[in-house]
Amino acid sequence: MLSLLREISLRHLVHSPLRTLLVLFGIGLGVAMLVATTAVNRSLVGAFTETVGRVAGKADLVVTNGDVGVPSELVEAILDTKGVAHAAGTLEVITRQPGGDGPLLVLGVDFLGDRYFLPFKSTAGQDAVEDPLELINDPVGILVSRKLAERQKLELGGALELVTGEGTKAFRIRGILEDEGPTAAFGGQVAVMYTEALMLSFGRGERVDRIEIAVAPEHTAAAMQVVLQKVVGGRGRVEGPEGRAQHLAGILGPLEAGIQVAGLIALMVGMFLIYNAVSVAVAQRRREIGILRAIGVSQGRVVLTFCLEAGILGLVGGLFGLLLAHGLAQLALDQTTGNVSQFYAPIQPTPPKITLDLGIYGVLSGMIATLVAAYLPARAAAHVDPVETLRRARSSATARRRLPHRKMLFAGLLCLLPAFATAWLGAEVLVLGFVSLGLFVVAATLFVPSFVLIFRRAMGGIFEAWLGVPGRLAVDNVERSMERSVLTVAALMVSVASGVCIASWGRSLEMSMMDWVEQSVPADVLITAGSPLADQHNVPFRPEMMERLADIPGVDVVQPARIINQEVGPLRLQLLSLNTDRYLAQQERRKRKLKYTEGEVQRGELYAEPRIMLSENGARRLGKHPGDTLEIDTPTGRHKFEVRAIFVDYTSDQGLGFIDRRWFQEYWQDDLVDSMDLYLKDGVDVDQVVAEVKRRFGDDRALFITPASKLREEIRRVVTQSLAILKSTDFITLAVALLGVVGTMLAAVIDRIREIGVLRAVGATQRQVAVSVVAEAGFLGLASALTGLFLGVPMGLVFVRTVALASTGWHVDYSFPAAAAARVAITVVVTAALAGLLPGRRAARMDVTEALSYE
Amino acid sequence: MIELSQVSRTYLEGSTPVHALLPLDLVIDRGSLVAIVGPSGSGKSTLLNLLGALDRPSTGSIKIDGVELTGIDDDARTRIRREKIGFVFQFFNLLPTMTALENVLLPAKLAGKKDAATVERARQILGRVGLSQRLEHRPDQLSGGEMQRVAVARALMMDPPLVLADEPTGNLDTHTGQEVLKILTSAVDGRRTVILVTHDPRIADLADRVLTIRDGAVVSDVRTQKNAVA
Ligand SMILES: Nc1ncnc2c1ncn2[C@@H]1O[C@H](COP(=O)(O)OP(=O)(O)OP(=O)(O)O)[C@@H](O)[C@H]1O
Ligand SMILES: [Mg+2]
Repeated sequence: MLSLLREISLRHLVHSPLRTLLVLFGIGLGVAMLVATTAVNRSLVGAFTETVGRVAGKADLVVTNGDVGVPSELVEAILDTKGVAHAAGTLEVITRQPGGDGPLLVLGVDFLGDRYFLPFKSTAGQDAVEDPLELINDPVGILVSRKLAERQKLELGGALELVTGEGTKAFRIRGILEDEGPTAAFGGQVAVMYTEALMLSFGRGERVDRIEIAVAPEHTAAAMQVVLQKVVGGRGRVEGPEGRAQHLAGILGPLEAGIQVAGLIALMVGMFLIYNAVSVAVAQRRREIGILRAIGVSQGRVVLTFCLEAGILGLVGGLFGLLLAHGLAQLALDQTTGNVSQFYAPIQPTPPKITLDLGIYGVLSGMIATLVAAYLPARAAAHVDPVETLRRARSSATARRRLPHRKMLFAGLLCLLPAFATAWLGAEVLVLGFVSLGLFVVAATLFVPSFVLIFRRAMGGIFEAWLGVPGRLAVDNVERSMERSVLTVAALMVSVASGVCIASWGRSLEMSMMDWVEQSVPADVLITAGSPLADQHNVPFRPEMMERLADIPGVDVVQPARIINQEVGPLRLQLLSLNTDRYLAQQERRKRKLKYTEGEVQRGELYAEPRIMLSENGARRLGKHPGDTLEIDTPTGRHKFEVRAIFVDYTSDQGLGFIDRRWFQEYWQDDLVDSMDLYLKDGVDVDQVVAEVKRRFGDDRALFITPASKLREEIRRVVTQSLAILKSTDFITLAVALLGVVGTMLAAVIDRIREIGVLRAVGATQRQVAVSVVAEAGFLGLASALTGLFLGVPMGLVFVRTVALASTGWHVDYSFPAAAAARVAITVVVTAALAGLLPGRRAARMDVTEALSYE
Repeated sequence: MIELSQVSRTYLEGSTPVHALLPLDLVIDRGSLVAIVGPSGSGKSTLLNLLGALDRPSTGSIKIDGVELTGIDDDARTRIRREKIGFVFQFFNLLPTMTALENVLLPAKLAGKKDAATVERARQILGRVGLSQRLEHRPDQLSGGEMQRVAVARALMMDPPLVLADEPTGNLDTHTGQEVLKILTSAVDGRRTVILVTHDPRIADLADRVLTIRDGAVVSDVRTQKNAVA
């Protein structure tokens, strides 16, 4: 057995380095993607856990209340509860340095209160933690992490500029914190301030983000959770630290689904590449196998030998994949992080780690995939007819395998039925959506042989007229190696279709969102601080800013918008509060209309009573309709809101609630403003107002003054960015096209070495030989592009209507991504043809006499 | 006329040189039938490949009708093969996806010729080799002898002054082999030279000249009487 392996496998591996590298790269890429996606996922979940656990190292329970925070006087009440050993409030502010390095986390710590939770030491200078009086007495005193200090060359006593609700403010560095515990978190972008000072500088009322609780030894956390929830009432949610992490990680659901699909596609692609590579190996050794069979080696042993070879390749390729995985994971993580922390929760994930279990998982999957993929060609090898190969008198045309394309077509048609059924039934059910997508892929794959045959007939004449003999040979050879051609086309088709599908989602979302922005944001200029949008990174304004803006000539109305994350039942709803009457009046003035799906809101209605308008997705998740009552926990307790209307809104994939500012101020005791929306008087020049705002408030980079036209651009940018991770499918398409076609054509060339020799002898130039190979590759690319576009449409439809709907709750009108589809299609054709160049060159450069004597 | 002066061919098997053909001077006249014989591995195919501009000699120069073959680039040599030389190999000569007619037309099409006259000529040649009933058959529908006859027809398609055949009958039974040989010999005329490599001693009787090769060197060069060319 082993001697056979040594004879027919290892020797070839060494002697065809290009092929060996190709296989290794194929397997490696598949394994890398599989491992990387898991690693990225873990990193993200880890980051969420860390966000939650930041200071909760020693806490048994944590009290939180969305973005609103928990009243700080609750700390006293909790400390007075029997069974509580320690409790302390923590405040977190995400801000940034003007012009600086991304988000910065400022922790507010009560140095005078319970010091049990203080998990850090300070080093430099006088010990601020041990002797905090100086720090407490300095309203701009701040401690920075060592990493931050080193990165920015900050020194004790120096200044740190931060964006606050009133513009940029300089803080005094009073200590440097060792990088451990929470200080090491958030990529080291961490500073600490005295709670009171932090509240003051950032306009946060008397509320903390979290109260951490340590339970006394004789009590259990579970029991205390119940007790404390009663104490806290509607003012917050008492949870174990992990529960909260999971809660946040749940938000990753939709993203995870996307990532998993990408991993799956990667594996499929990997298998295809492996299949290809083993086919090349078999083609190369046909004669050798014939001899072995002739001298009495059994079919089983031939299969086993090839599988063993594949297994070895799988192992080495898998290990190589692990090397690739790290870089790939880092790339994907970088892409995702910005997006997640802008919209969900500020995170700074640790670099992805390829742990041992992940490594084993990756290598094993690689080996299994390799074995499965190798089985078919290995079996084909075993069936090599010893007489046939040895005689060589007959052309290999007799040996060609016919695929049962009619039966496959029929089976494909049968698949369509359940595919449509699940698509129709599965609106909103994620699993059915995936099933439907899968069925469409299977159906399309079954159509490929028939399509390739028909397409070959249709294009045969054109290729021949255009390229002459090489063109003719190209299409002939496609049909001759049907199995190989079909597999290549199928693999490329799936990657093109995935690209089109993802692009459909992006395009449809963009179109719907642009329409929505147009209709729902009628303001002329939007002003935010810290971030161009009211998201997780912006720093809210103090309300006085409103009057100062209203003074600017040309400004008709200033609309204060506050948007917070509010936990409602199981949902993390975005709660938007506005002066609704002003808003509706401006809507009318500009002839814009919100898209209601149920009910409608008239002026005055949201102001007069505590009423709420829900976004369609939020309403569906909460199961609410107009007339229902929604209970919301606020800092002043639980309050009832009447659901007045349901409307289309894409602010959050979790859902949006829309209330009047009056109720927000009253119930939440919060008068901050995230975004100041200016409505100008008729005929006023937007640019002039923007210039005036800049003049009055300083051309501070912390302030973002966005004209409505720019907002559209910004939203478009954000949409594209948030779909960036899905762009990786483009990369997959490219990789499949490149590696797959190189492999396929390499096999094709090796299969036909003698024939190429004959061609050259009767007068084909090197160029003509190369053209025939490139044209065949191009033909495969073209067939893939067409089938891929064709499959991409139903896949996109199902994705938009089912998968995306189920994970975001957004009803989005499908629109075909013409530009992206054209791009993907052209990419695949060009890449395929280019991929044919290498094998084409190899065919052309072959020594004619050697080719003629090749057996 | 074909002229070889000091032509040799050395292959490198790893780092050890294999002298497949020792330096050789040879002149072959136009319009003759030349047979190359010799034991296996003696260098017959090597010589034929050099004559056919399929391979480059390690030393020396080869001229066909005064055109130097050595030192010209691959495209030029391809053009010479296409226009001046026809090949017949032992087996696997034909492109399996093309019909007999298309196979015969191949060199013309590669040269960009596909007018009606060309197609007509291909039909005629196929008729000459007795295959007018097999025009639209593909190789897997032809017998071994028929395939070789198609190969001969293709070799004659461009009306080349030189036809090279490397054991064209090696794969055929005696009778079929004879038929193919007959066609090949009848292709010799005042303008056309046919050179064939064979193990078949009877060919010597048909040939104008018999070259015997052993261990890379021509050990005998016999011009037969009956058809000697001046
Ligand atoms: N590509 C090559 N590399 C190395 N050695 C070669 C190569 N081609 C031929 N040879 C060697 O050159 C010598 C002559 O080979 P050639 O094929 O010309 O012999 P032949 O007379 O045609 O034999 P046969 O009757 O078996 O066809 C042989 O020893 C052969 O092993
Ligand atoms: Mg030979």
